[in-house]
Amino acid sequence: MKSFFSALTLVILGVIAFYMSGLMGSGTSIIEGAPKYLAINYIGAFSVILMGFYMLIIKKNMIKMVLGISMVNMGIILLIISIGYGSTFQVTGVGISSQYSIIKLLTIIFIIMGVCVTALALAMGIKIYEEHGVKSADKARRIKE
Amino acid sequence: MMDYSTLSRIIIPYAVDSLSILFALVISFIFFLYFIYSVIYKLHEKLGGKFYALLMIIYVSSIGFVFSMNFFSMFIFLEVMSFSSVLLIARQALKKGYLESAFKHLVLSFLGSSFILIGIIIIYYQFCTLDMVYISDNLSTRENFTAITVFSLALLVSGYLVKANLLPCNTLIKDSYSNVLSSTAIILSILMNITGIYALVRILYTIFHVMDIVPVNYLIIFLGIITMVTGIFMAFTQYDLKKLLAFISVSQIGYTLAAIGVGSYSCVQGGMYHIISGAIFMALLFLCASLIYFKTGTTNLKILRGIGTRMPYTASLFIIGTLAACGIPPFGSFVSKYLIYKSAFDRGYYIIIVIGIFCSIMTLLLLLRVIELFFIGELHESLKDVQKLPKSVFCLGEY
Repeated sequence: MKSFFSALTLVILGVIAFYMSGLMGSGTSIIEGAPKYLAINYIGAFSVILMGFYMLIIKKNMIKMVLGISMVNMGIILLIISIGYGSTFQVTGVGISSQYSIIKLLTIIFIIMGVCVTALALAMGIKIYEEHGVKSADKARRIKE
Repeated sequence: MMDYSTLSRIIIPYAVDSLSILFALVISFIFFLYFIYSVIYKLHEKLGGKFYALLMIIYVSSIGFVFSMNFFSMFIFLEVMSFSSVLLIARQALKKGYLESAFKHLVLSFLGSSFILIGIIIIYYQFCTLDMVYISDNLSTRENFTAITVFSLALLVSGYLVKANLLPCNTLIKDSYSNVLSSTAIILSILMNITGIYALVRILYTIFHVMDIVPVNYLIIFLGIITMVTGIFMAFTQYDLKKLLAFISVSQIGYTLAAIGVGSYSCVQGGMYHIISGAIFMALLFLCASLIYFKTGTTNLKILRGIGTRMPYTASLFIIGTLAACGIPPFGSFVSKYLIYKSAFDRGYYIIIVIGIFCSIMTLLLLLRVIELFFIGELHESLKDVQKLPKSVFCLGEY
């Protein structure tokens, strides 16, 4: 029952996300010169993110959950890159492309953060496995109580 | 010299307005009390020197979160804060063998932050900047409000709700915080609640300007009321003093959330004042519970029967905290609750008044049961050799 509701939530989120990626592909930015690209970029990025959420919510094995965390990160980085790709927007009077620099900054920082979270989660999973001898998050809780 | 809109695309601005300075003062006050407490009880001997380093990082990043006027820096500070609080919880959980609660906390906080991040990226897609002042100027008229803006707003609000342990996750606070050692985890949970409320006010009122739309008002009021009621009912099932207080603190945050939903100036004023008074009396109650824990080594209410005869000053301070939590007139929370009820009455949202008074009475019942346990009944055998506290502790009780 619980996993049914989780799956339902994921399906609704997926429908909304694909609808939004269609809108984003048609380009509704208010800035002139902002990129207008095909929806296929955004559809791909949202698919990877939703697969990550599926692994994170439905799977019980902690290693698979860590893989899900890593997958969500990859999807988010894809989303950032497809937004920043090929922009012609320039900051007047400064001489650097602000969009490029901010996208670079965001991508690098989110890669680092994702690696930190994944490493910490993996370390915790290994410690729990050493302690309880199970890989499943549910069984580890049951032993405690 | 460039104008602000050009400059703000390059630099990352910070601003101190009346909203952020209020939250910064509340956070500093809580940390000030907690540092005094940890020095008196020599927590560094129990938890190691890295404990203070992590606590300082959390303090600095929460102050930075409150003052930043850019979605990017706000997200970075939030992530630093939640990451170091996960580390702090994991360090303590490792010693007690409850590491899976820290794992759960990490996964939840990652879910919240990924929602916030997708929302931020979609805002960036629409405006090509992350500066809040620029976005707020462009969204002040409804013509730039597209379906994509609504999607990003929904992602941001749900992300901050998950991150702050509010509605969908407020029952998980029992697992993720209260298993591990005492006061640190509880202070962290209050801190996450306060920063979540700050982000909601900042996003809903000053960036997206959506609080004059009636369905949004009803949505936020609904979230607040459910948070209040579930918090107080979950508290009734607990036999552990710290878990009980954690759920009462969740239900007090629900008052502020409902007050934000009303959308009038005086009601937000009442909600902000309730954050200040709530932080004070919840800190008092939690520190009393921690004193009892340090003297007796347990917070199980079945064992703590009759402890009030051994620790009379602590129990008296607990009574003061109880009266404040229920909004009895001389205390600050009476004023804040009265402000919330009065402005909700003016706007016609009577449901807040009914549920709010109901939850106050339930809180009084719950805490009176605890006080009755403290003072009436036989002293438990394991508590016979409990000594009275040193005088220096009571500087904490005098605020």
